[in-house]
Amino acid sequence: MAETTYPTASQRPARRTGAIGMRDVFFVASAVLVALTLYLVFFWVPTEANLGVSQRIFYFHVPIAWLGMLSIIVVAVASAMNLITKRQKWDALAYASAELGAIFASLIIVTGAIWAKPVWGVWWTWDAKLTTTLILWFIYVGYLMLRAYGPKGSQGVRYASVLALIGAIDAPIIYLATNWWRTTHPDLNIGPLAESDLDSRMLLTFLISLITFTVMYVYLMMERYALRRQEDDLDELYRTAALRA
Amino acid sequence: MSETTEKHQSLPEASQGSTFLTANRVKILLGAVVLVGALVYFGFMALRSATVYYYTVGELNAQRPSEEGRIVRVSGKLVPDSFDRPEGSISAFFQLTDGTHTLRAAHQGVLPDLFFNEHSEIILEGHYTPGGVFESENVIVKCPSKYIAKAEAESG
Repeated sequence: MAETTYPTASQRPARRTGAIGMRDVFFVASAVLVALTLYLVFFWVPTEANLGVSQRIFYFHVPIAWLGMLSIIVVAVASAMNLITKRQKWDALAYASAELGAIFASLIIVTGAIWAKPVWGVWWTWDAKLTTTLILWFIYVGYLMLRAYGPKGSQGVRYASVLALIGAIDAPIIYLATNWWRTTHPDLNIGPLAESDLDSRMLLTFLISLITFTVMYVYLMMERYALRRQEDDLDELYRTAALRA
Repeated sequence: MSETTEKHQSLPEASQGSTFLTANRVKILLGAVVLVGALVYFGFMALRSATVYYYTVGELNAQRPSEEGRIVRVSGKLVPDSFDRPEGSISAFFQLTDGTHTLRAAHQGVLPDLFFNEHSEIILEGHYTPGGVFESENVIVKCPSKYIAKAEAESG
């Protein structure tokens, strides 16, 4: 029963209690920014002339969509790094981002449907942008199922990494769908390829909301990543103990 | 402490069965088949509906003879003053235009609020009837891409 030989957990210093870390900073920043964004969206920004009050979903729907697309790219890059370096911390990063991405992909579809019904007249239609977003949702769910039910250990990680690398191609397709095909979505009105422009107050509200959601994503990633590392350590302890027994 | 990493690497992974078709592998194979199948299906749907997601009024008029009975989507703007709903009826009659061509259309039922907005593009899902009227089954309103603030005076 030699306690000292358990490797990974002892290699990282435990988080000192009382010290203010980056996670605390991002937690406070997220809380403040969410409050600010809610104020801007519901009290400050003007109502859109044609779409009315339902257009305010825009300030949630688009930042959520951005994170849904960002998450799969983070999963793919971290997976590639894991395949190259074989270091488990990259895999923990990929897994954390996949879980968050699954939540954001679900929220894209939910907020989109809530907005589509009053504006378009339908909850859902099979246009290119909606369909490729649904594919993104399936990629996240497929990734998580592969991790949960696939082979344990590095083989399962490799399978999921391949899925993530292929799946990440979907993100730019979703973004550019309105340029490539006829869809129900309006043309891009944000970003370098945008043709139309926004009212300045709407643009400011949107940008702050985008920053808010991104900061929140980073914070959630920090929490989930740290937890995942602890899960990996625990797995390692069980495996070591099982081998000894 | 320096030997810990080597010890870490030398640990074997949880042992797998040695035969090819273990219960785990069958599950993975089934999962992969379902996943790939779903991806191909939705990819196909996306491409198919993307190429014909909607026609413009001019494109639809050009191929009218072959389009009777087949469900298609057509997009255009509402011709001003063309809308007519007989008193007490749920049927609406109107015309769509792409700027040069027009299309006579009919729809039964509720229309979205933005249907009558001059900036809206209207997408109809439906088919031609022998009379040359486009019978719409679903109305989808494509919202304007430019957001304009409502004037302060009228907001409330």
